[in-house]
Amino acid sequence: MKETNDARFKSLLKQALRPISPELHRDLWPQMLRRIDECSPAKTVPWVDWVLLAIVVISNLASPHSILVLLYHL
Amino acid sequence: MAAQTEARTQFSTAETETLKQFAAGDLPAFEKLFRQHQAQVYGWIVRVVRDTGAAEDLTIETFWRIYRARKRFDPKRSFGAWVRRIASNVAIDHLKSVRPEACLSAEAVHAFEVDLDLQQHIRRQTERAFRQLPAKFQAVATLALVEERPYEEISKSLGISVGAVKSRVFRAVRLLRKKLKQSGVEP
Repeated sequence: MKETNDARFKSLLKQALRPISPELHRDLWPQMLRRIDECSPAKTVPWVDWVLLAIVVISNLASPHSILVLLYHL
Repeated sequence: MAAQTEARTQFSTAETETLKQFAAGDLPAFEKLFRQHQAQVYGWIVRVVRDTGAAEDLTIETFWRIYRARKRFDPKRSFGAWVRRIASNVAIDHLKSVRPEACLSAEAVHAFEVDLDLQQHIRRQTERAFRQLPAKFQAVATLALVEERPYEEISKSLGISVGAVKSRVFRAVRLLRKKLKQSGVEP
């Protein structure tokens, strides 16, 4: 009885749900690559670099002679 | 025989190497795996969601999740099984997000379908009732009853026991029967 019911439901569902082709007809890699590019985090400057830059700017403002020292070392 | 075994070992070693490279974030290794598995993933997803356009997007979504989770992947484990599990979750998430067709009043349904023959009416009602089932029931019922995939395969793909698969199929059928009765269709 249960098997008959299951068979009836199988047939009912097969008729109701549209048949689909499981074949993939194109390469999805270009789309994947676009997704990776879009979602990758933007290249950012590490915070340590910003701190170093701030130290250099502040020391140059505080003592202008340090500009010459900096230029000498560059 | 020995040559075959050697070739298989070499293939397996090459695959493991690719998986290690992928886990380390190597894009060409990911591309290789993507090209190897994209058709299989698409085929699985489209069987569950029954929509070719959505299935392409969901295949991309699956591989995007895989790409993000690459550091957690253990190259000693089966990549195919891992991919199938993620694809199933993505497909079920999609089914959850798709709203079932807005329910029309009984009169509206009758007026709309008065010209349709009985078979078409039953098909339409069945599809409508099916789309109102919870997503996890829809997925299991589609795979088991429509696609006739083995319970073992479904259980592995969804990460649940065979008993749970059988139980979901049973509950899906019971719920579907109830919904069909409510809409005046006696299955």
